[in-house]
Amino acid sequence: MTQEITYSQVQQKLEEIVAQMENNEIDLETLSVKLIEAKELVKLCENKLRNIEETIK
Amino acid sequence: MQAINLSQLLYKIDETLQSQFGYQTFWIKAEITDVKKYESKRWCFLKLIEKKDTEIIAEMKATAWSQGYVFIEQFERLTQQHFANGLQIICKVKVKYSIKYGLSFDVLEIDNSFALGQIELQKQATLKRLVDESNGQITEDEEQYFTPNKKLKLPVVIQKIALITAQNSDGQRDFNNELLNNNYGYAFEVDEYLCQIQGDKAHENIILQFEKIINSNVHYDCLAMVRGGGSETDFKPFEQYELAKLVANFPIPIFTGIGHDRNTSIVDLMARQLKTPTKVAAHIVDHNYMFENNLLYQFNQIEQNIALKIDRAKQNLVNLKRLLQSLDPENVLKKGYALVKLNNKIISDVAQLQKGNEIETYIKNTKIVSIISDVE
Repeated sequence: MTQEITYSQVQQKLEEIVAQMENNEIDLETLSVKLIEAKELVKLCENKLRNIEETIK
Repeated sequence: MQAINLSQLLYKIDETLQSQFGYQTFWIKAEITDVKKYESKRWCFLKLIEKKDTEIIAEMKATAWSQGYVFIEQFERLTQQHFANGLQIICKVKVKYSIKYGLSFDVLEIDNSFALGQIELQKQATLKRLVDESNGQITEDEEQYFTPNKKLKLPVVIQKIALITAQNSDGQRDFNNELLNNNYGYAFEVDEYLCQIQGDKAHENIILQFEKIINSNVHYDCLAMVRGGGSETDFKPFEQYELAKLVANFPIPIFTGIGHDRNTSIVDLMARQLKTPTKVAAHIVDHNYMFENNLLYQFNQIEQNIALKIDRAKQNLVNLKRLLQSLDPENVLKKGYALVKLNNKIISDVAQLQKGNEIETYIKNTKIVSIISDVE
């Protein structure tokens, strides 16, 4: 049984990508892939936050 | 032999006594017994006795007519005890003789300060005995008594209660009304242990109820002992050593509401004293309200905490999105910047370029391929 990834884990992953981008650790080709990944992670975070908010209402 | 009538002799006695005592009065100290009060007439018939150890060595009938009865009423008001057998009193008496009813005293006055002192002495002696004979279980500090019963912790919520009270008394009604019709709609289960709680044998009846409670094997959260209505004077059962000792060591937390605001009985001192039946019930309701209130507070705190965390997470996400946007090369190019690649690698240092290199320059929506003619 796979365990669902937590909000903190997603956020950490996102922050890592942003940090790598800021530090120019990613080449241009990988950059576009990482950008897509980062945008997906942002969406995932937003969905998770929405779900949490609805649960506690 | 010449005989005289009985009355003739008795008149002689009367004369002798009259000449000897007349209207003289005497303050005497004695114990009272055979007390019979006629409240409607405000008379009291009694016997004054003196004991040596347990043996009665002097005894005299006495009567308090309305003049003396005033002091009996005062005594009962001050002490909240019955003017009853066994009390030591100091009273002012006048010798009275009747050829029909014989010799007796008229009680004209009672020194109530002495009576109060006696009662207080007795109370102090009982309290001292409770402490001395408790093997350190009962202690006193600045007139506060600490007993095993008082140290028992109340459960966070009180639901099951044992009630000791008199049947059909105001105390029983007041307690149940206040408890069962509480404003918060809390439910309670009350088992009543009913008995006489006034009169000479009252403490024995109460002790019996305590035994019944223990033998029931029911797990009670607390025990309420209340009285209300009835006589305002009969608090003697609550000064008894045996009952006080039982209360002090009883394994269920006890609340007392035995209805006297002015004095505190020994039993009150051994338990949690709340004065009246209504106050005991209100305290129990408040105790549960405190729990609910605390629960609501905690819940509110949790809600606030979560809301704060979500807000922070949202803000953090907004910041990350903004950063991503600023780092997106597409967006950089839109601002008029260009990207130079040599052999498909981004050039971040001009030192990497040499004359003759074929480079790719990326500007907004366009790729330009060029040969370097010079590097300065």
